[in-house]
Amino acid sequence: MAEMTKTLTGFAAAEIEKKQGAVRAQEQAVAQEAAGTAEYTFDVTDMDLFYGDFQALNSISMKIKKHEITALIGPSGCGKSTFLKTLNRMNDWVEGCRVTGKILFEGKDIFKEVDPLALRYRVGMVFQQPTPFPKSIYENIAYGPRIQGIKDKKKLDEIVEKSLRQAACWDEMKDRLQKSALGLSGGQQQRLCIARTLAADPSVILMDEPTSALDPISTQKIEDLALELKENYTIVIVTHSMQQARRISDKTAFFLLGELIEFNNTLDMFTNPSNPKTEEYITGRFG
Amino acid sequence: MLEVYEKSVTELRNEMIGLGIKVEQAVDNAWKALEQKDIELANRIYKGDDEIDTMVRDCMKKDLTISMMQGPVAADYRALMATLKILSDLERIADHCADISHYVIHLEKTHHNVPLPAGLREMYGVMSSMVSDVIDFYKEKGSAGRAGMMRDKDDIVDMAFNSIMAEISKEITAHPENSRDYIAIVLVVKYIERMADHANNIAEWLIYRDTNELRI
Repeated sequence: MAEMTKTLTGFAAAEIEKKQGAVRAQEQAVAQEAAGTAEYTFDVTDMDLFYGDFQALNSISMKIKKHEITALIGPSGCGKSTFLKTLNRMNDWVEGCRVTGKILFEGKDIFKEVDPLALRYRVGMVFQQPTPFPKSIYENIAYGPRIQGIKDKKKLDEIVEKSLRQAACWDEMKDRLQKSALGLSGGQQQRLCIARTLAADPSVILMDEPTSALDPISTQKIEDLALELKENYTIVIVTHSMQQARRISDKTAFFLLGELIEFNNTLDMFTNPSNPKTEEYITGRFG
Repeated sequence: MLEVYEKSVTELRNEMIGLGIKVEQAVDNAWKALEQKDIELANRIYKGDDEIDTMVRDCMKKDLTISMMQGPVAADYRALMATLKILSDLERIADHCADISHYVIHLEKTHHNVPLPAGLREMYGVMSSMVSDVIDFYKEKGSAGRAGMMRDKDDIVDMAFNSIMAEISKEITAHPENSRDYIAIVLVVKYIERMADHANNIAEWLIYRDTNELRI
């Protein structure tokens, strides 16, 4: 019997070795992909951010892949919204805010090679509270293209229709384009804001807790919309809802006290996180 | 909410351990009944299976309720999914104890004089040690390494199965008049082999629980 067990263990060891070989091959494939064949919208390297003396982000490095939804999670004050706002330099307006390190947007350094205004057209943003202008639905959408210099009424009509269609608003809003946007429901206003962002022809949409002020049905519409939009846009979303991160994102980044603790495929993150702090946070044992 | 979660998970765990003890007892008793031709014990095992089924159902309900109401993730999720699968395997092991008991009763009714095959005691011993091991492993996290050894033990049971089968087929050829009784014994040997498979499945689910690796 002892001898039998020995042979069997030998057999099992060979099997394990074979499996490990397969795992190594997969790891190599992933590494090759990361090495440059894939395209990244943002490539953040060693980024620190200070509000005066206070360091809000500490040595963040992260590559955000094109046409994916990346969710940023973490407890309040962990730096996830700060990180999001850095991606289109909205922190420029915050007094005493200072950023070091490098952020490449589509290969260009956003602090050296890109005009901040041009950057914000390409990297649109949607906020927690819907922020429609106190104007008609039509004007909300046409406003951006108009200040970009588009005057042709026919061209503007086209942009308005296209943007509203992309944001799944057209059918509900096409007959009330001249009515005030303030008469829309919260969920509709939020989708209008997404449409307004799309009218500026961005390649990225940043969303800062876009559904935390909305009811479940409006939330679902925004989530469905995000999944549709990722075909053509890169989406980065800050969310407090772990279910939302699980439902819609491809990658999830967990921030804690200004540090990026873990950045991983969402499925891996929620089935087998590699950092114990992530595990504590997502299972509700911390924070 | 976390407190409610921890409490219900602890309750489930305690019930699982209780169930594990019952299944272990059934496995021990099934051998005693078989070896000692103890019909009364066989009857008790047969009837006791209903109680085990009820416990399995209760644990399943608890597990499903926690999964649904708490939306667990990561290790919490894996533990609940693994428990659900382990419950099916425990239930099958207990069923096979009842199946063996059924044939103990049958064999005694036919007043047979067919001896138990040589090596069956050892085969049963390896299988029942597998059941005890995995029930122990369930109790503590991080037992994946030891759980991995169950595959080797299962291979030993399979080899014993093949050699006992070969012996029995010789016996049937030599004593065709006893073939009905031998068929009953063949079934018993097959049940033992299946019980080891289920114990190995449990080990594999424990590995999934502790490491996220699926070996099934």
